[in-house]
Amino acid sequence: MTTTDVDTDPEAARIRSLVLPDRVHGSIYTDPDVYARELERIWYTTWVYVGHASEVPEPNDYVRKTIGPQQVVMTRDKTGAIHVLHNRCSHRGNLVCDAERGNAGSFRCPYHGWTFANTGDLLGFPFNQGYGGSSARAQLPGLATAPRVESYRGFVFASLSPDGPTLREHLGAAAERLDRLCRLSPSGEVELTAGWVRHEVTANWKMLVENETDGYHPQFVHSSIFSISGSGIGALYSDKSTAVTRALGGGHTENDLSPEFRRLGVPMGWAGTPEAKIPDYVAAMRDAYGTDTADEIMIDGSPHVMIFPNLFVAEIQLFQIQPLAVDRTVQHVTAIQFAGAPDLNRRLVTQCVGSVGPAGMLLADDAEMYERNQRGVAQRRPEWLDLTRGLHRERVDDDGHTIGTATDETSMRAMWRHYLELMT
Amino acid sequence: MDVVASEFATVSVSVDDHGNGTRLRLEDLRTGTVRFLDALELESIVWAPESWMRALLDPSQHRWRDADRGPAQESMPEPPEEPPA
Ligand code: FES
Ligand SMILES: [Fe+2]
Repeated sequence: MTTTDVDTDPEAARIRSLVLPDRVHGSIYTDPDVYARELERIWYTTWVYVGHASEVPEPNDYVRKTIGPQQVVMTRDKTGAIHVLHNRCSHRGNLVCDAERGNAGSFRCPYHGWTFANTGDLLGFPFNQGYGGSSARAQLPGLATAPRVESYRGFVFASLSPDGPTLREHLGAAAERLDRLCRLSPSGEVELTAGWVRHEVTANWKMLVENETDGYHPQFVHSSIFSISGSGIGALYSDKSTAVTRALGGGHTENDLSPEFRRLGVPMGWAGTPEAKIPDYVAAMRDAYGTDTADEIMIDGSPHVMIFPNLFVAEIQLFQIQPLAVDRTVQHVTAIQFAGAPDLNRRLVTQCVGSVGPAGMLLADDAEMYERNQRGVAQRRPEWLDLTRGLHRERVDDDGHTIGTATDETSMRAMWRHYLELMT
Repeated sequence: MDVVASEFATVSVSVDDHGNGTRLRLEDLRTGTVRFLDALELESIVWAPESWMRALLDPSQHRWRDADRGPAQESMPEPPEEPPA
């Protein structure tokens, strides 16, 4: 990533003045010019999570997805390769696909009938004499494709920039968190097949990214769901906890609760699900990995990781963050499902309905805070948001990552450092 | 009768046995147009090269063909024009 010369780019200098190591200015969440620059320099440049391979299991399956405000179609072609296409007809710009998902080897635009293969190739158009015959096809464009599409463990990312770091470089240490998620399946695969709920909030997307690994708020905002469900998770977000907040590099951050789960030493304790309730799953895990390794995996649990800028894995659910405007953001949410684990999966869906479903309590609590926060930062004074929590007690762990306690703002500071790299 | 549908087309599919042998009956439910395919025709479709199917999907080949190029179905070029690679 090249750093802009702040002398020749006044907007870069202005943004640098709004994002300081220990505070950010409220206008960074409300300024349409900042948002426009974020689209260009973050959402349309870096690797953005698009979808999961399990959402297009069969040849010619497709699903509609998003890269920020951009509408895309993720397809699997006849040969099995995955493509990310802009959902915009190359004739006069109509949306080509309307259905959320389907199976089709080709797409026909409803406006004038131009027809495209699911790789984006133009197959033809009606009344071709108007273009001088079918040979014109070679000169006319097909659907635009994302210049770069790569996947890691089934997680498909796209970059709308033809060059830049590889996906593996972009993910860095966050890749291992996806490994940690996948190994909770006896066959090492997650499946995003439970369906999606779409939550829209009137808040800036960065409020959400920051909140995902903010360990300071759960005891306040989520106290009601913790008390109703009898969950012990809330108590792990305290200064007495051995859990840590970690900056993984590249703007990726996590709340690592595994030290606490290891201290408790109960397989599936992290999920609040006693072994006896999911005997098939536990047996399949011990079969697949051997008892000791399986128990370690089931004790350590699932990651709580925010992969910048839009993929949030929160133990049992997955969120895809989509900005629509400076003060409008959608979270697409699904219950994570593990291949070869039907008894566990049923419980996970039920738990997710309670937490992030249409009437779920966890996400509703957060959504209320996002919207209040967006309204709050629009007020004139004080102008800054404080980011100093835990600054004095930050440490570096054995892997070289900066860590703080479970409630420290280490993750936010790390996100903003990466943000400045991209934006200025 | 089964229906094979996407957001782009809706076709009913059934096996018809009114003749001396069975055949597949396809009906484009958006227009009511019907086509029968016998076993050998179906086998040929199974074995047809991918480029044949791609050419068939060009709307100018049949239904939305310029009038001065003659009637659609009978004038399908053989073999169809090569589509883009
Ligand atoms: S806009 Fe798609 S065919 Fe005209
Ligand atoms: Fe009209």
